[in-house]
Amino acid sequence: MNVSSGGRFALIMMIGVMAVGVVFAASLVTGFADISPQIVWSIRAPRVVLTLVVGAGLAVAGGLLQGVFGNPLAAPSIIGVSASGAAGASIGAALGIPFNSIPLAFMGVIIAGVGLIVVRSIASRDGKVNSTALLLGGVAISFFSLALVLLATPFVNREAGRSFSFWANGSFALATWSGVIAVAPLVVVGLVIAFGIASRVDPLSLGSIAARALGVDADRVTQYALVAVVLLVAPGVTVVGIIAFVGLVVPHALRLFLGPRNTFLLPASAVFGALLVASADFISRNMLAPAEIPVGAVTALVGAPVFLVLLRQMVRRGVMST
Amino acid sequence: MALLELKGVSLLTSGVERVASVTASVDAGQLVAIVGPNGSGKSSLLGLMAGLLTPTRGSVLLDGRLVSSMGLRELATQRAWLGQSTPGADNFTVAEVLNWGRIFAAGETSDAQSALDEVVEVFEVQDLMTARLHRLSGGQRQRVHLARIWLQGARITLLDEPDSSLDETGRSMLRGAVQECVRAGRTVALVTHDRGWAMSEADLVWEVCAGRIVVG
Repeated sequence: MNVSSGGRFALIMMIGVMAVGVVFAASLVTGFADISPQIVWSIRAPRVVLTLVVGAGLAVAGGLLQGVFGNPLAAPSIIGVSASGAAGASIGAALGIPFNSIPLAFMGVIIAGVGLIVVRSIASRDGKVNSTALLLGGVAISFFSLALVLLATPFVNREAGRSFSFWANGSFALATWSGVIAVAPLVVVGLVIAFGIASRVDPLSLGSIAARALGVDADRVTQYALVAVVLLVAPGVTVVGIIAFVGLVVPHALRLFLGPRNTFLLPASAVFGALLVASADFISRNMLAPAEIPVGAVTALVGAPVFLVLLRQMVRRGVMST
Repeated sequence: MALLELKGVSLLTSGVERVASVTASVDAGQLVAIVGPNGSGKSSLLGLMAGLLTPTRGSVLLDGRLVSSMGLRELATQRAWLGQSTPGADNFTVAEVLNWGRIFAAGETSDAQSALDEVVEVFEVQDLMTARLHRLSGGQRQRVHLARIWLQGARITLLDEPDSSLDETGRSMLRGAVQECVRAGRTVALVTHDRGWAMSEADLVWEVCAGRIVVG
């Protein structure tokens, strides 16, 4: 059992890494009439690197949330983490913190953390999280956060180019190397935490009390997971806005091939999340070129139908209480 | 010396006294049956014995040590607990779920494979190993969870109505497994509504009523 699932994991990782390489190279050089090294280095390279970092963070965060909450619909954009990160960035920018900076990334982390704590507290009773309440709480937090973005936007320097649409739909058009430096280290810390707790997330599927009886501190694992989720998602949001459904689609697609073991699922989610977002950005730039469609629109076109199919499955299986 | 001791243990939740000043003990190798009407506090008493609930008053000792002072991992090597529900465990296979008892509690040991083979045979789950747990019937799941906690290799095993979702064949298999366990020197405490089983096989029967052991 272990050999075959380990072999499948190795094969999928190999395919994923190779595909990432192809998309990375294609993204660097396509679409320019004049491919000067200077343009590739200063404009295209940070953009492509950021798609990989943000995509990896979003997909791993989705896989972790689904594991610790035992809810297949949990994903950063659905339970409000992404939107509250955007609110943090907008408020920070309105207060004069520069875009693509480390302080703004921390501002996103703080507000996204508060948002996640609020949603979890509202949805929890006696240590058990109610699936429906988690999703509805996430919707409310998202609307509230987007209202904060709307309120803060007039106070942000217009030349910075961040409209409400930028935050709501996501775009890598304004990515810079300083943005990469602000996001990547925090995402790496989030990945280290996520991979570190991966095997202990598995028994949480028995429920927190049974996991505790087995020697796994469910509360502590969940706390680490939530810290990881905020670090994986919020810094990226402060640079590129909200890119929805990546955290939903990628882990679910991978579960079909790898099963639910998080030691396999989370690293593979990192690779394929990077692949999905880099591909979505490639499509967003080239589909209607020279016009650019928001990358969040591309991921939502794929992700929203997947969400609805999963929702239907949950209703059929009686997982969603009426 | 008693393996497990309850000293004046009480539990108060939401203003209701679930367990009231219970003092009792279990010796190593004993089979203890806890019986009583629904809502009398049997599961709460078992949760306190397992260290999964914290007593409002009094203390629970395992081998002379306060359960509340032991880490979760250490506790899992000393006692195993199975609740009333039989969770489906997402999409994990039976083999993966059984493995958790070894990975998180018992640790890697040289005789892990022989222990697994033995438990798989006792609980008749050999044909289910590659199946997804959530696709099994309630009775089959119960057998898998019993096998899982048996693999923890704990000194005392605490079972909350383990026979509730089993058919007659499953119940006789459970009784055989419990007998086997006690014969092997392990200690078992279980909550059951089957008084016939309790009276005929248990070394101690605790009759619980309104949070107190009224006979025992």
